[in-house]
Amino acid sequence: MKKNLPLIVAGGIILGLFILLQVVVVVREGEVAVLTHFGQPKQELTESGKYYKLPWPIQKVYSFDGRYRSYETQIEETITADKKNVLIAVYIGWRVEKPQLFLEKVGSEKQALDNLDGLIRSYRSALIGQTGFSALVNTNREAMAFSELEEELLDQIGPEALELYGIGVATLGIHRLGLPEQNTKSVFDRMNADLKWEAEKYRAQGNTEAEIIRARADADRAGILAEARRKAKELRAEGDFESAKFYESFNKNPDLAKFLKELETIEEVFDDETTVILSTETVPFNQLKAGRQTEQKQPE
Amino acid sequence: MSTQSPIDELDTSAGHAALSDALRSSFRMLRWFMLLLVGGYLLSGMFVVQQHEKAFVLTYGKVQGQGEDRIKGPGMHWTFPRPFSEVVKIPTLRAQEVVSDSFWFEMKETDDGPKAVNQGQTLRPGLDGYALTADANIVHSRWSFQFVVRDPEAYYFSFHDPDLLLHRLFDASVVHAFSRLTLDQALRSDVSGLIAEVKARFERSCDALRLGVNVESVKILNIIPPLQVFDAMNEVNRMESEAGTKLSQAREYAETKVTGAKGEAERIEREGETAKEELLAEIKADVAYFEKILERFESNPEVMQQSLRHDALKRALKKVKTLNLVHSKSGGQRTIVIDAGKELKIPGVNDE
Repeated sequence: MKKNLPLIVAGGIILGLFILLQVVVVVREGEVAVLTHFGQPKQELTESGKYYKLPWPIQKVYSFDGRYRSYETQIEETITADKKNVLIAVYIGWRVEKPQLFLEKVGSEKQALDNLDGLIRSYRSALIGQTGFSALVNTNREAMAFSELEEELLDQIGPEALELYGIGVATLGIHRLGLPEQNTKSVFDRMNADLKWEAEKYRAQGNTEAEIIRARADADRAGILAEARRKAKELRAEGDFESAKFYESFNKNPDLAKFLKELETIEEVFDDETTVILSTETVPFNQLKAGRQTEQKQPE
Repeated sequence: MSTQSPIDELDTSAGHAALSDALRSSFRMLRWFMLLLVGGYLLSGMFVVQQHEKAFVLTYGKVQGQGEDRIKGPGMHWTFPRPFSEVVKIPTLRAQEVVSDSFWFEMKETDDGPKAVNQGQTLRPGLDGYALTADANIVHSRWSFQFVVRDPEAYYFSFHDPDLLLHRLFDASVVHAFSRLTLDQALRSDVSGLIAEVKARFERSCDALRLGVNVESVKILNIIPPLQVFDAMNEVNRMESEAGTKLSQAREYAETKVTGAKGEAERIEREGETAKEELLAEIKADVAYFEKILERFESNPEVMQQSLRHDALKRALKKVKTLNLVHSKSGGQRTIVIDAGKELKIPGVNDE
């Protein structure tokens, strides 16, 4: 008996594990479950941890992933209030929130997605049908109702999904917004025309603005120089004005003043390029008159 | 009475002994094997959390511990092995990057590199991704975003496939941001505004859902107009560039002109200033000279005049290049000619 103790212990462990698996239910973090008694829902297990149950076939547990998951609809065509066709795809974040209702009304993830798809389609088409295209795309942000549209859609789908299917919808958004294939060509035609006009606008704008800058620069230059000349003239005038008071001294003997000015002029007009021809009668050269007829002097 | 011979009896007891030994040996091996199995099972509860990870231990499906103890940091840990406990590791510190091609057209690999599958005049829904701008134009873009898991418990236990949900939230943010900007703003003039708008909305969406992530960055990998309007767009870019060049040249011209004018103006003003100063200095000198001469002049004007005239003539003639003296015959004309360097021929003088 003592020799077989390890075997007995091992067997006991295996048996214990088997019994545990039959009577213990583990609800993982992020999971929800429903305990049924002969097929009748008995208890919702929404908290993680271990629970006890009677062995199968008396009681059975149905577990569901209780975490939020993403579902997105196909890209589908719908018509706005102003009769414009648009392509829209919507995503939602959903989870099993009421496991018992989910088990009774839905049962599987595939069925849940089908039900959600139907809900989204019906509400989306109705809502877009009441919304103008300009509420979806617009340069004027105040005229847009993109977020409001998403919120309204969530407000409509969320409560119904919870009430009908036990599904909680936490978020909803438009993740694709486009135009029907045949409409894209006309968009390209318009874009080409717009871009052509824009190119022309840049060309004309470039020329015009460059000309304006040049003309302004020329005008600025002329203005700056005119102002400088005015200032220079003003300075000269100031000089003349200030010098006038000194001229009063010359009144003491105006003839002498005139004589001195004339002598100064003679000195100033002569330079080293000047050739002067004087008569021998000119003082002091008249002193040479008794001698030769002509003389030439070559200065240094 | 036994019918077995002594030899047979000997064989039987030897067989029993051998069987007994074999069984004993097997049990001994089984015992060790069982011990090894139990030891191995207990050792399998050890786990290592890497430096960029966080881990949770679920005991009977419930996160073990309270508060901060719920999260196991880097290092070696031990817990009861399955089926009692389960370890969930989540990469948290490393930024995870997700690339969104949702708004890009379908590509194919060719010998010349990747090319658009669709060369037609329309875009195929679901295959050629794009976004609508506020002015109802079409734009293609490729994006990437990086995030780190801030709250691993929320990230892992509240969301089945958080990466997919993040992707959808991000795409919705892109659609939303493009719908508020014109094509020109999205492509050129307000690209940073576009990125900021996408990031802000994406962050708001993540926070509203309590996804437990921090959005680290949002980038545009490519953004282009549709291939169908590429030539027209290139022409716009070319014209814009040309206009820019013209403007630069004009600004350079203006800068040169105005700077030159300022220099010239400075010179003109200085000349005016100098002229004024020179004039005053000259007048002052003249007055001083006049005052000096006046007294002597008035005492003997004749002699003083002669003397001054002679001195002036002497100084003037010292400067000249050539001085010709012309002797006048009877009634000869007296002439003073001032001419720079010219050879002058005086009639009646050079002839002789």
